[in-house]
Amino acid sequence: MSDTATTHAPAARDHARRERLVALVQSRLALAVLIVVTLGAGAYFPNLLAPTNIENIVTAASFLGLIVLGQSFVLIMGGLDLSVGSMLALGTVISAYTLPYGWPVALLAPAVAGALVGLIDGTLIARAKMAPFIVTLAALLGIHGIALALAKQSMDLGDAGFFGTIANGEIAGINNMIWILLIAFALGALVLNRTRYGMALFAIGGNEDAARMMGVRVERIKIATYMLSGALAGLAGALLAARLNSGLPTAGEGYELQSIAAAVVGGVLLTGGVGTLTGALSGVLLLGLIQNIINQIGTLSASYQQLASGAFLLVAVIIQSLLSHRRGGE
Amino acid sequence: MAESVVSKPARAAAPQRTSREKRSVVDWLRSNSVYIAFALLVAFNLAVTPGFDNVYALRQLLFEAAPLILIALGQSLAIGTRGIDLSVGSMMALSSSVIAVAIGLGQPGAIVTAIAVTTLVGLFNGSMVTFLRVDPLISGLALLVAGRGLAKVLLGGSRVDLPSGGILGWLGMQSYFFVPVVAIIAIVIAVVVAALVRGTTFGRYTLFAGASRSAAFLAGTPVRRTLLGVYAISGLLAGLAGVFASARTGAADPNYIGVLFELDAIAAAVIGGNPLSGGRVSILGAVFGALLLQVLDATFIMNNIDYTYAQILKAGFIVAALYLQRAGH
Repeated sequence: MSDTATTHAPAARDHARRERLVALVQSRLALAVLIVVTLGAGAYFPNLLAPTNIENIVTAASFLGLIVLGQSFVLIMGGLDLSVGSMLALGTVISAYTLPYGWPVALLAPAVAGALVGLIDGTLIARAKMAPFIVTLAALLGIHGIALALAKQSMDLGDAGFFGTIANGEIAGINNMIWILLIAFALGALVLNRTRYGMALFAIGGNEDAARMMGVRVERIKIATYMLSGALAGLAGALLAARLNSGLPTAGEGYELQSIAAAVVGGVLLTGGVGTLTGALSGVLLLGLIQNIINQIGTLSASYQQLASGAFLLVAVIIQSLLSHRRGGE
Repeated sequence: MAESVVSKPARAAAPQRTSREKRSVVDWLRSNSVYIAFALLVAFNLAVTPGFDNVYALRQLLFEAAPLILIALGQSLAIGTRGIDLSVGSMMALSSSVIAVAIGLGQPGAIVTAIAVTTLVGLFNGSMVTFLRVDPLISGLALLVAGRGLAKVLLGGSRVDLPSGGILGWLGMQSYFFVPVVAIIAIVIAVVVAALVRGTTFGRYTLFAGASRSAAFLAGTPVRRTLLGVYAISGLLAGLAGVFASARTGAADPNYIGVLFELDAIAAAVIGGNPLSGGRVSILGAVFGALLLQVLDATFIMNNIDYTYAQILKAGFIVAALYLQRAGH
């Protein structure tokens, strides 16, 4: 929204400089807060900064992280995907069903299922011009239902063999999930910032009509992006199944909201057209860190984590709103 | 009860529609789809479902529908302003927890406190939307997460039994001629809200704010005050819905009360003919949308079919309703 009102001639340079500064704050705020909170809390809780604990935090956050990657793409495009949490759950269940056919199937089948869901969502949104919010909300309900219809309760994978190693093993002393998370975000950043597809996402998020006039194939890109988000959610589900050695039809509850929260805290604007993956990743780690701090305090129940992440989201949104108004307003 | 309300501002879409005059039958079916679907579903149940034509089943259904009707009303107003209120499910839980915490004030005091708290949160939500211009989706999302967290924290994450007598007992158990008190209250409130939308300047301003925010602003209507009012009302109704649900459960249970209700409330409003694009509010539609969802649940439960299939079908309903609305524009 603010980007559409670009600068005009006279006071342009001054304005542009200030705008850059605000953009910098917006995209790096989460990272700064992450560092401050880590150091501050590290002083109180010596265990927090122990390498094993840091590894635990990042590993636990990696599943949400993969979802946030897809969600960020969708948000930057000006869309929204609420189906990711239940897609993760369905992914774990599909993994449990397909593991007998070998680990590659168990790993990829959920991603394919997620892409299919994304294809349906994306088609309804891009071609039938329905609101992303309501389409993916319906998908959330529908997928949740399918996951529960396939598995009443959690399914034990038994001896998962190499499939389990994918999410539990280590390379160079660091859990595979962390490698997967980092590689995924690095690839994502490459795609977002260095390809025509990535540029098109920003263009559509900034101004869809203008993007269309510039020759961007808006509908195709929208559908592809919802497919990507679904596939990543399905893949996250497969990896979670591998990690916990079970199919969990009720996993990922609230992930749709947490993934949006993480991205928004990380400076991705809900209005589209603005966002960085370093910001989004900082948002994910920040949420994971808060959870861990609350666990460290020990006397506090898990309920405090919800309260804290909600409050965090509120503060982030308010700061963003104030910043973006300064950035040109409506 | 009040008719479906088509606002004056919504007439902006009229010129396009005149070219489709001959498709008026389709239009009629489309604009009454929620009532037709409801009638078909009820007829189906009367024919097929054992025990559906039973006053006890009806009573149970109405007990469960009452809270949903209340939050669907608030949701319809928010959607009418082109907004949304995602916090309603968590506000039900918050209201429930506050009752348990404040029960020392006596039951009436506790109930009033609970509703006052959720109304204040609604006002806060409205302030973010109006003064900070935060997307209502995201402010509601933050309150959804934080609200449920707060509700759990207040009771240490556990369920607390409430007294079985007094007002709560009356709300939770009493019915007259097989119509629960809570359903009567919900219907009365629906009539009041419908009158509010139809017959007051506040209602006009609400629709106007949804039809065109900037035009409403330029025309000098108090857009900000209106939005604040709408979100406060939504919070108030969610608080009351929380009271109803707690009274029926006989306990304050922040882990259970109102979970995913925001989705049902949105579904009820949308299926009932309140387009997400705002500017149009149909209170009767929202009430029947809520009843439709409730009967749908009951259909599956009473036929011993897995509840999860009801969810899948519900998802289909929402998409279909929205697709029809889209075609109507």
